[in-house]
Amino acid sequence: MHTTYIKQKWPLYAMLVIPVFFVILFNYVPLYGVVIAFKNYSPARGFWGSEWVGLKWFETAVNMPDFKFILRNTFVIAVGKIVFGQIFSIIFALLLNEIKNKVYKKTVQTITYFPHFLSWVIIGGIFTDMLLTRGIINQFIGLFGIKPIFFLGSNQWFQPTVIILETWKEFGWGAIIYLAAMTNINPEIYEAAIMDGASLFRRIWNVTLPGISSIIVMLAVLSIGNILNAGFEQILVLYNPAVYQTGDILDTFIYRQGLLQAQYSLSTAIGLFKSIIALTLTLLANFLATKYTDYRIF
Amino acid sequence: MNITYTKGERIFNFFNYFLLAIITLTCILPMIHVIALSLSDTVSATSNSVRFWPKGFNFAAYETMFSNSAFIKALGVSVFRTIVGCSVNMLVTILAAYPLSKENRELKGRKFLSFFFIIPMMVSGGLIPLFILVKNLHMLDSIWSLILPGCVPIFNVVMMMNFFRGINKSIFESASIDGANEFVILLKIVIPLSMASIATLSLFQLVGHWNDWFGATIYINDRNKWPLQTLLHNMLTTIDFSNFSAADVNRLKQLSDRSFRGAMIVFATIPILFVYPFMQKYFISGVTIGSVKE
Repeated sequence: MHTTYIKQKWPLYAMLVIPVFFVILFNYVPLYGVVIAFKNYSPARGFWGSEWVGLKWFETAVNMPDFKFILRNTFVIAVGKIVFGQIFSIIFALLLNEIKNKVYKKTVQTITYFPHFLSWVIIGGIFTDMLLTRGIINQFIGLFGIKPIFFLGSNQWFQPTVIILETWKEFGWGAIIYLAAMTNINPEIYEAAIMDGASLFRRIWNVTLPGISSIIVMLAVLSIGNILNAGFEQILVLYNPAVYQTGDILDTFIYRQGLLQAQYSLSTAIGLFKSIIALTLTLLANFLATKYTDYRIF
Repeated sequence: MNITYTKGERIFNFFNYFLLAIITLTCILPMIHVIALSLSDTVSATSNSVRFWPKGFNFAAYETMFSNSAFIKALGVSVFRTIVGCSVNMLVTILAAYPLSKENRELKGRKFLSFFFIIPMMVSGGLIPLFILVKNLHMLDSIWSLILPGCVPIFNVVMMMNFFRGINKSIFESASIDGANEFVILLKIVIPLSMASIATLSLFQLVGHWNDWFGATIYINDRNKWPLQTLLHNMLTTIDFSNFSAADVNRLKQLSDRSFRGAMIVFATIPILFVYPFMQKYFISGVTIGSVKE
């Protein structure tokens, strides 16, 4: 029995060798590498030779004057994106669902999904130009008598700007799941509602919205896991030293400390700090989503 | 079904079409603006007078771009890492997804293996430990640093696994009675039956590799080995906002290559535009499978 099992099944294990090797090398080895957060790591002395320093780097990080700002920025930008983005996607999906002309609907979808597939370098390249004080967006709002706004260069405007840009890039893509949920609503319910004389608005409010409410709750719960993900690549493309006070987030801080200043241990410690909170939140979100919604991970 | 619209509903419908038209326009106008910019002459581009139609129409920016050796090199790197990277991703994805698509009794230790693959989705060592690893492997400044560290796209493995599970089991049974081993079954039956899914995931991988710029900013110092998007990022960040208002001279110098940058942005978007219609066919199923499973 045992030998026939091996004879039959060894190819399955052989297939797994390459993927398992790469996951160990590039996922598990770095996971072990976080021990340098507790060491005084220097490349010269290497991984093993550096001495243990306990929680020194965590204390250093927490006592840095910028740390509070950075934590606050991360939280504000991430939560802003989640809330604003989800609401906009839901409204967009509700509006699009009322469009009866198939060609029009398809065209709107095709165009609004597209920005999702562009990198932040491309989008940043387009918008840094458009958002200049004499750029096209300021020219446009100037028509309404509004003075030019330095969107990406002022601490007052940086956070709203990145939140709106993220929403602009992702709302179409984010609406797909709501639209899919709407197609699953039984048409008979709409027919019954029409028979009962429910107006269009009542149908949206009393049929469509309840029909997608479980998806809304599920995505809202799952987004708890993201409240420290403010969007590393976006910020890295759009920010600049003039707006560090409002634009610097944990990920960009880790990047600058670690790779530009070569503070390996300090930035690993901050990264670990973020990972632990993120993991706790993700597990919590998954637990809540599995318990209270239809969500299943595997 | 016959629906008679009330007056209020008709007004709503009209505004709905109108509002969605505006929303859609906001998604496309930035792209049109940058195309117009790339086709305009330097004077118009610099004086902020270009809107949605080129002024002083010319192809100079594109000519400059194609005669720029940094651009040509970067294009080569991008094409190479996109094709090779995507191939490696797909090979590894299939090799992992097929065994994992088996039932627990068919593959002993499957439960352990699933956890082995899920854990890295939940936690990662972060930027620095991975950077140190890549450095210690002497992969810095090598194109493999852009391909190997992320070569197991675990999320895609899960999607692929679900696709494989959808295949009718009776086909496997008749094949294994005929004495075919798992390699043969994978190659001769499973892969041909899953070509649509494989194509879909490949397109997403292609776009991912084409779009990636951050990898090279940390792993590759030699700018001759940068992919296109990293080169573009470098050009964008040379605008220093902190001394922007003060130094007008500096600004003019930077803005004069606006058309050139526009041309690069347009060029970098074209491949995505090209694969986009093919991807769109699979969006909804892909997104749904990834997020909600019954």
